[in-house]
Amino acid sequence: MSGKTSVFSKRLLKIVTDFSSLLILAAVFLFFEAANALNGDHYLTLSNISVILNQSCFLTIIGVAQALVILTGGLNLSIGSVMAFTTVMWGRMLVGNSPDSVHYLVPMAIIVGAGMAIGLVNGLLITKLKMPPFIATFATMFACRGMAWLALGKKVIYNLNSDFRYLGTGVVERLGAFSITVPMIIVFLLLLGTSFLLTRTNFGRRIYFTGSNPVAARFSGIPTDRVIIWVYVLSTGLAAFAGLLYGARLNSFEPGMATQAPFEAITVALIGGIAITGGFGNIWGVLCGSVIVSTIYNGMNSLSVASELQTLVMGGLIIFAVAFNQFLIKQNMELRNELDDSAPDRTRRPAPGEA
Amino acid sequence: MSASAGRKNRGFGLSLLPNSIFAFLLVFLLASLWVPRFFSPGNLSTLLLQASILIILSIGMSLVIIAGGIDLSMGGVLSMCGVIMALCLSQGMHVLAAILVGLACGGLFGLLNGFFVTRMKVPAFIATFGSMGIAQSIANTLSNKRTIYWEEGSHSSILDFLGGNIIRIEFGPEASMIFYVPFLVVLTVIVVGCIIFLFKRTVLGSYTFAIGENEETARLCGIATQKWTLLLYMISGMMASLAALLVLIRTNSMQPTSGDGLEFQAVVAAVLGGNALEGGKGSLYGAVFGALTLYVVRNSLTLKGIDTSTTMIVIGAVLVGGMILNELAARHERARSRKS
Repeated sequence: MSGKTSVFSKRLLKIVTDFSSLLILAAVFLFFEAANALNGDHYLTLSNISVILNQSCFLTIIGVAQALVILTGGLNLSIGSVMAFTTVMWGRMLVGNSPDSVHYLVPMAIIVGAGMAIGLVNGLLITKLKMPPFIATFATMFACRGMAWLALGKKVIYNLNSDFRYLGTGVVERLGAFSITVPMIIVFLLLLGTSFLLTRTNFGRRIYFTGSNPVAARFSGIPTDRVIIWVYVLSTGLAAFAGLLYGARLNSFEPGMATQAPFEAITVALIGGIAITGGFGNIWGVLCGSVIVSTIYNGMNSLSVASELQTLVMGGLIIFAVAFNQFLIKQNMELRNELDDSAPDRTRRPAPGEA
Repeated sequence: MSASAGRKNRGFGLSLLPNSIFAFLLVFLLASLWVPRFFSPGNLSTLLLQASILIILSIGMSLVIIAGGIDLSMGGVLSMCGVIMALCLSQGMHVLAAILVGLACGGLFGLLNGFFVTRMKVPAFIATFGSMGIAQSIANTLSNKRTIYWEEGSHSSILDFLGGNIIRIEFGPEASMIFYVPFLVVLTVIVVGCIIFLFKRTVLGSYTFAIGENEETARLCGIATQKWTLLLYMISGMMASLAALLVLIRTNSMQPTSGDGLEFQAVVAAVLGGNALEGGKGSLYGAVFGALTLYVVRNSLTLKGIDTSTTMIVIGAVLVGGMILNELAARHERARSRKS
């Protein structure tokens, strides 16, 4: 009898740890609601939630780009520089509204393609030259940032095509104070697509397997090199796409943009429950992570915290959130194994990505 | 670890030296041939002085990297400790006391990093990235984002001594013909020498390699891995504050942003020196020459009048080239050990 209750409580605990990111999110919301209530303000209004979600869109895209790579046990530090380099090189084609200029999808395709090409370089450096991902993407980060500065100098590309800007700023539908924006829809589609890729396709399974044990994956016939190269191509291409959205929102492209992006992306992915060791995590957690981070930024602004102190709070939060989450992930993995052992009738073990 | 032990028996050979020495010699030779005014006594002295900050940082970084971690907070700690020292000086505190306060702050911050990594089990990359934000924020808040100067006082003679030259030889009347050795370079050599001595002659080195190679095995072998890791992070924090002292004396003021980006240069220097990021492999000499290689490249490009954006690309290329060189050397080594 006691065995059954312990299994039940373990099941309960597992459900709790499965949604660890959601728990953190709820805690963050509650904290800012309470802190604002002390000043007599209301924090969790519909309009503010829609602002937070809209802000989190960019973070989600780079978070997904980073999460894909972290799932294979790697890292991509070139995200911010690739955003700057690709948009600065071909962003001029997006300026102005003259009717005879090329359709804005053409330069967008070129920019994402260029990002994928840099991703190919990353992948080749890592798999063929056996460079650690940190160093390889670090080198491309340096090189891309330098080329961006070289291409544009201290100038800024501004006054972008208004059709293109709609992608970053457009509003599709207003439901009272809550407005559904184009970036939200793009991010939702992206998450659906990535989730399908990771959990329902062969390639996704290979990503998880390569990340959790590269040697075993290779010996069981998975072309790990090809998987890793593809993941870097996808990730860096996504980074270039994120650069486009970023520029569309700010109405400008500049060589110095998004220097912190790779680290923000790592933060978002790790708070979202992706294990840094690779092979474990759910892509929807990234959405949770990015909403948490943008809620914290938004909340600190609502409490008018000085910008120097915001870096301090952010730094501390990264450390504590990741520590907390790593702890929960470990508990979750142990519980999952125990539950599997105690339930012999379940023939199918859950895949590493299922949560 | 086993590779270095095996090498000792083979006696002195070229393969004993870290690869970055060859990279350094190559770059140095090319710069001397192609860049006018590079191989002049004055420029070489400037080069040494410029590189000494990065050398100190990269030594601390290599220690942590060999143990399988990384310390991205070094730049932030440099700014923070520099600001604290400068504030102490501007309040009229004695120089030596101010320096001690700065070093203590660096050490304490390093301990904090070690605590995050060992006790809270946060991956080193994330933990030190977070604490980089914390340190930068402290530097900005304390200094109000302004450059800090201090009045001439009773302590200025000590500062003058620290900033002065030990040796000065004039080969000619122009500034480029004067060879000088500043006290800061001597200080760097002494500190680096001490650390390398400790690393080679005490258990510090072998424990560091053991922890980096396999922490679990090291723990089972009776090494107090958590304490040693804490110590390593503390040393790296103190190295950052020592580098802050160098910056402070060289510029005679302190900006809260002076450490920005230096941690990445230190990583590049350490990696060029053959320190593998997965831990358990590397050398401190290598890191010193890695730092020198970087500064030869930067210095010669500046003398040629090439702007900093190109320098960034070239540094990326040097990093890739150095890594290829390291990989080739490792393959050569493996092939030879298979034969014997």
